[in-house]
Amino acid sequence: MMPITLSVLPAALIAIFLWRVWKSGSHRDIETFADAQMDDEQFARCPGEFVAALFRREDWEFVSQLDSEPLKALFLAERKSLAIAWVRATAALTRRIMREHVIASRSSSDLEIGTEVQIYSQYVALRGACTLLHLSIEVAGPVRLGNLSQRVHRMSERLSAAQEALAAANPIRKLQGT
Amino acid sequence: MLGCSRELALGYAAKMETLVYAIWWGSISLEGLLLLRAYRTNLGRSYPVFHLYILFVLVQSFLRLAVYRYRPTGYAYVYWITEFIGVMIGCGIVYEIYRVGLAAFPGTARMARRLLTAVFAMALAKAIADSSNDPRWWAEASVIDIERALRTVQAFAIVALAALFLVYAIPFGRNLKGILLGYGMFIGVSLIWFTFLPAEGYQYRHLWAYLGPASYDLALGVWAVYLWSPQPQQSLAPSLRLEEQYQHVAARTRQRLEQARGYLGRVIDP
Repeated sequence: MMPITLSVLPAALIAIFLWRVWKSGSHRDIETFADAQMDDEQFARCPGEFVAALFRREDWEFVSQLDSEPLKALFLAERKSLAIAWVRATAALTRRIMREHVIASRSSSDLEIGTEVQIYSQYVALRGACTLLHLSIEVAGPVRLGNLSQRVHRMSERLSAAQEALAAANPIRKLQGT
Repeated sequence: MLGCSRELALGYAAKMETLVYAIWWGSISLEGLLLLRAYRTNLGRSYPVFHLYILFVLVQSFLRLAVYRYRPTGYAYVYWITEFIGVMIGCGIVYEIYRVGLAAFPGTARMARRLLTAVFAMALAKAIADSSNDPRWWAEASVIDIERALRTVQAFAIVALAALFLVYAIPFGRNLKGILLGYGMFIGVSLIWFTFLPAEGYQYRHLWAYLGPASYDLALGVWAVYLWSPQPQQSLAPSLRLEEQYQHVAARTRQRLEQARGYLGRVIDP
């Protein structure tokens, strides 16, 4: 006797996929989206200093010193909306890259499953990072997030330095593979 | 009082019988209509297995009725034999969806072949594992169990194909989309029914007398709408870079995704 889940799962999956197939009627190729998404792409590729500034604490410290609650609230709201817009633009850019990829590769006769899986996992990881970043900005705000991410970055740097030191201290073990 | 409730019960039974006949004649009419349209529009040539399936179900309905009337003792045998032939032709429909939909996409078709092979291999492995764990499985498995297992495999194959079509944005023609939607819906409803049908579930069998055929009528309705007139598979836009080598495309995509990751990295490493 087959377990119930083994039959209910494909039935549920069929419902989801058929819904998607039914809604996919107005298929549009990438060219249609080109103009609309160009702005997003340019925004996602904006200079690194600008993006870094969005999450930096210095500006917030300066505004805090002015001791004006409405100004603080306005600053945080502006930063948050800008940061979210930038994350959305980056997510849109990754979607666009993937869409361009499938349209260019789907007709290839030498499509490789391994390469496709790698590209998809890279894409899924990126989309996951975008979603996580979006949620973090919504919950903590860009300023606190920047502070947190800098700490995490410093910690990971220290950790990798420690790991390198450890590896350097045990070269024989490493060679012996024990 | 008793006479009144008996009259009500008889009235209800008469209404239900009318409903069963309406569903039955509805499916016969829709099948006839589909076959007639296939003949007039030449769609039968583009989708031969699908139309063979419709023809088979039409013939099977009359065959079952004849056996039920003139040889009721053999009805169960005829019912399950025709049911299994129907499932087998149904597998052919899945293959036809793959063949027609991916005709212009050799690489994606290769991927679909591997995906479908994996689905069937997993189903086979599961069947072997079940029968080796319990050698009496084949003997004890009811026809419903076997049909449920076959429908499950079909369902996974449809899901795998639909996923591939969606991921690679394979353009659907209206006809192919209708076949996929109708058949997928029918398989989904059948699976739910076969799953929740208890071994001695005669009380639910009554419900299936309406639900099963009604879902098939709905599928026939979908097919009638989507297959009314022939529509060729959508062709590719001429601006696509068909001449580009896959390795080059894949390398560029990976590079661009890395670049996008770099943009996100600015938050962590400003």
